[in-house]
Amino acid sequence: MKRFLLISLFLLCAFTQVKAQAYFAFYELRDLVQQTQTVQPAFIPNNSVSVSMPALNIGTSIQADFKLEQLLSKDDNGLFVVDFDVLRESAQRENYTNFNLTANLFMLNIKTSAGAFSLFANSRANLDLVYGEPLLEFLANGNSNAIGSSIDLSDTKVLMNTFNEYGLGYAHEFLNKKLTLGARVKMVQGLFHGSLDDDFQGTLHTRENDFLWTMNVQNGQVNTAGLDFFFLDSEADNLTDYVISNNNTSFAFDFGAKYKILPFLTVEASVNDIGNLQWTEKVRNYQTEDAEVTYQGVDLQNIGEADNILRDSLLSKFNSNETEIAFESPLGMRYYLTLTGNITPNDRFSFTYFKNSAFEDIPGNYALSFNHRFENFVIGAVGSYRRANTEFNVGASLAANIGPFQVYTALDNILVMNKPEQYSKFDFKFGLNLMFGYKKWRKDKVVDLDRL
Amino acid sequence: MKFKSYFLLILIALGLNSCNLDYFQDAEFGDFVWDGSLAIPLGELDYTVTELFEELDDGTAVIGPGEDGVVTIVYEEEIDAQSASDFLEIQDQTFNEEIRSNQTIDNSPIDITLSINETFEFSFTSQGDERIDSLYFRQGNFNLFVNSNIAHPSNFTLTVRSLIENNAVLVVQGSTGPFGTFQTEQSMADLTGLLHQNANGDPSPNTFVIEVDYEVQIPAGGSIAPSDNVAFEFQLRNAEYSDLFGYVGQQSLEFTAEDIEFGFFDIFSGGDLGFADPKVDFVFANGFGFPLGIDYSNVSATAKSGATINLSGSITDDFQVVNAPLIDGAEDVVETTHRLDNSNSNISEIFSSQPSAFRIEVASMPNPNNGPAQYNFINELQEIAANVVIEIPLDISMDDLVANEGFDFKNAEDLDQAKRALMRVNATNEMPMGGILEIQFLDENGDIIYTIDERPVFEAAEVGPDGRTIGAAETVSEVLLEDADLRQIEGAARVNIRARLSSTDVEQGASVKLFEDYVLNLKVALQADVELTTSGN
Repeated sequence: MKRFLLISLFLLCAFTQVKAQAYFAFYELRDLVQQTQTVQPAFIPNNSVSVSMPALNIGTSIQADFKLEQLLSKDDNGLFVVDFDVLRESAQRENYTNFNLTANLFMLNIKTSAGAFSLFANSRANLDLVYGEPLLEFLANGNSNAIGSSIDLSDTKVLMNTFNEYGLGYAHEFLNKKLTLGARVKMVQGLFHGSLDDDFQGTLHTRENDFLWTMNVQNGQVNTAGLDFFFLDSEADNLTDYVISNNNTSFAFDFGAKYKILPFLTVEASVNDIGNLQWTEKVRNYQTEDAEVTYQGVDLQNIGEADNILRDSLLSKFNSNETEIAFESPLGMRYYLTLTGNITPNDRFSFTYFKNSAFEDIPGNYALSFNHRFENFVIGAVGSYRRANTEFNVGASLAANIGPFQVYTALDNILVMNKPEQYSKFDFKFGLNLMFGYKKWRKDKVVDLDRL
Repeated sequence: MKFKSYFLLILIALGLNSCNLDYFQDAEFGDFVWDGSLAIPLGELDYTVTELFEELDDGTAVIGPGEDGVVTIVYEEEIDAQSASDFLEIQDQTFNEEIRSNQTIDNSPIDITLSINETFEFSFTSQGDERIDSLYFRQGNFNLFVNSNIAHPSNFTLTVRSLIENNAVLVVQGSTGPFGTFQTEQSMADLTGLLHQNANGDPSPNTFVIEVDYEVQIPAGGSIAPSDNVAFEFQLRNAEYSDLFGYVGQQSLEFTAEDIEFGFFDIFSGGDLGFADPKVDFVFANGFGFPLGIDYSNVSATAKSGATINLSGSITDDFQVVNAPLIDGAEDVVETTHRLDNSNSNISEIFSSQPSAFRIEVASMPNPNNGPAQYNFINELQEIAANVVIEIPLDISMDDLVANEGFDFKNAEDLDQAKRALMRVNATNEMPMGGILEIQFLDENGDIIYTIDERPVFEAAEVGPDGRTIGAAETVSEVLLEDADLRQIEGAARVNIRARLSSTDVEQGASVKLFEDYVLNLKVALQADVELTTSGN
C-alpha cells in the first residue's frame, strides 16, 4: 500500500511540476524492449532472442517553443491560419524546434551469457531549427518596430537530415554484471539534407531618417542534398533508385555504459549518433559572399516595370553562386545521462539528463521517472523539463507480452491527447516485437519494498 | 496486486478516454495572411538642373550648360533669305536701231558699194537702282533680227562690244537680199557681259554697246534714197548669271518669317518668373558681296496672356549691319552676329512674359546707309543664311511660380494590400530654388478624388556672395495616408503634381543662377502597414 501511495504521489507531482520530451518514457522501457538500444546501447534485452516486426516499430518526437494552437491558430471565421503575430507572442530570446521521426525497419537481438548482439536497420529524419526572437519579430511585424536599430538573424540555425542506418551492436556485462558497456556501429546512408552554415551571421539595420537598409551577411551558405527530387520534375522518376542506393554513405557509432554503484543505484550514460553524414550525390551548395551591403532602393527615374523590381534590386546586391561540392554534416549527437534507484526489483526511480547537440545551444532536458513492473506488463510514468516557457506535462510507457509478442508504447506527454493544441510537444513510440525466451524476465525475484 | 493493476489500467483508460480534439473538428485552412509593417527605402531621385527642366520641357528646347556653367535653355531656328537669282534677276533686254543710208543715188553709172559704220549705246535695263558693271552669263539667248527695206543686197557685221566670247568681242556677220531679212539666235552661256563703259570707253554702268558695219551693193543703174534703211533688233532673253558685279542697290532682300513655339512655359500656370539675362543671337553668314542692313522692329512674342509684345530698344532704332566679303575674297563667307540682350532691347520682358511663341520677322536692305560702302558682287551659288539662337540662361527669379506635371497612375490596384502608409521624403537640395508640392489624384474623368495638401518638399539653398549656393538645404517631409485615404486613392487613374517654386531671396527681388552641377536629391522612403494573403484578396 505504501508503494501505491508513492506512485500516486509521484503522478500528482508530475502533473504539476514537470514536463516531458526526448523519448524519456521510451527510455524507461530499458531492457524490456530491444529498440531502447537506439537510446542506450548498453541495454541488454531480457529475452534470448528478439525480432522486430517489420515496419511496425515507429516513433516520432516534436518539440517546440510554441504550442500547436499558436502555430495553427484560428481566425475569426474559425479557420486554421498560420499567424506570425500569435507565434510572436510565444517567442523566447532563442527558440528551438526539434523533430524526429524514426522507423525501425528491422531489429534482431540475440542474448548471450554476458551480453547481446544486435542487428538493426532504421530510417530516420531529424529537423533541428533554432531561431531568435528578432526573426519572429520580423516575420510577424516587419521591420517597422526596428527603425533605427538592427534585426539580428544570426541565431538562426537549420539542420535537416534524412537517412537510413544499418548496423551491428553488442553489449557486454563486466565486473559481475556491475558494469555493462554497449556499442553500435552503423553505416549511415544520407537521403535528404538541408542546412544553413552554423556560423551564419546576418543583420538588417534600418536607418532612422530614410529607412535605408544595411544588410550584413557572413557565412551565408546553404547546403542541400537530394532535394532536386522534390523541386525538379526531371529528377522525380529517379527517387526510388536514389533512396535504395546512393553514394552518401559513411559510418557512425553509438556508445553506452551502465554501472551499478550500489545494489539499488545505477548510473547510465550514452552517446549516440557519433559521426557525420557524407553528402556526395545530388548535392547543391548555395553561397552568398560575405558582405555588408546597403540598399537604398531603386532608381526611381528609370523604374520601368515595378513588378519584382524590389526583389531583383535587393538580390542584385549580393554576389552568390551555386556549386555541387560534396560536404559533410553532423548526425547530431544525442546524450543520455541517467541515475536510477531501485526501491524494489520492480520499482525504480530515474533521473535522466538528455542533450541534443545538433547545435551547441539547444538546451538539455531533464526527466524524473518512475517505473513499475507487473506480472505481464510494465508501466512507467515520467516527467521531464526543458525550459520554463513550456507547459507542465506527464508521460507514460507500457510494455506488455501477449504470448510471444511484445507490444510497447511510450509517450512523454500523455496529456497531449486531451486538447493537443495546448501543448508544444509530442513524443510517441510504438512497436511490436517477436520474442523468444520471454518468460524468463517475468520470473525475476520480487523485492519487498518495505525491506529497502 | 490485481487491484493496483486494474487501477492503473483504469487510470490509463481514463486518460485515453479524456481525449479532446474539439479544436480540430470541422476546421479548414484559411488563407495565409501577413499583416506586418515594412519600412523600406523606395529609392532615390537625382535631378540636376538640366534634368529638372528637361522634365518640364516638351522636348523642343535644348537644355544644357551655358556660359560659366549656368544652365541655359536654348532654342535654335534657321531663317532663309532669298537666293541670288531670286534677289537679283537679269531683265530681258531689247535693243532696236534703224540705220538709214542718208545717201541719194539715182541710176548709178557704176557698181557702187555703200559702207555705213555706226556705234550704238543702249541702256541695260535693271531693277531699281542696280548698276551692273559686268556679269558672267550662265544661260540665256540673244536674238538678232535684221530687216532691210533697201532694194539691193547688203552685208553687215555687228560687233557687240558688251559681250565677250572666248576673250574676244562677239562679232555677228550676215547679209540680206533686196528687201530681205536676217535672223540668228545664239546661246549666251559662257558669255561675259561688260556693261561698265560707253562707246567712248568712259565708265558707264548699265551700258550695252554695239558697233554696226553695213555695206550695200548698188549695181550700175541702181538708186538709193536717204530714207532707205536697215532695221536691227537685238534681244537678250532669259539671261541668268553666275557672277555679277556692280552695285545691287537698296532693294529689299527678303527673309522668311518663323515662329518658335515655346512649349517650355506651358507647364507654368501662375506666379512670377523673371529671366535676368536672356539673349537672342542672330548669326548671319553672308556670302553675297554686299552688306545688309537688318530691321528688327517686327520681331515680337505672344505672351501667355495672348498679348503681343514687340521687340523694342536701340536694336530696333536703325538697320543693323551685316558685313559682306570684299571683292578680293569673293568666295568668303562673312559671319556677323547681332545680339539682342538687355542692353539693347526689352528681351527680358519678352521672355519673362512666359511667351507661347516668339516671332522672328526681319526686313533687310542691301547697302544700308550706315553700312560700309563697298563694291558689290553676287554669285549665284552664294547665299546669306541666318541662324537664330535664343539663349535663356537660368539666371532667374521665381515667386510662387506654379508648375504642373501629370502622369498616369498605373499602380492603384496594388494599394489594396496597404492599410496605412507613411511616405517620407528626404530632400538634399543644392539649388537656390525651393518647391512646395501638392499631389492630386484624378479619376478617369479627370476629377480630383484625393489631394495631398501642399507641403514644402525641398527648400531653397542659401546663395553665397559668388552667386553659388552655400551647401545644400535639407528637408524632411512626410505624408501619412490612413486606410480611408488609401481606399480613395485606389480609384485614381492619373496623378498631377502641382509645384509652387520660389527662388532664394526672391522677396528681395534677387535673381539666382542655376548652375549645371547643382543636384536635387530626393530619397523616398515608405513605411507601410500591409496585408498580404495567399489568395491575393
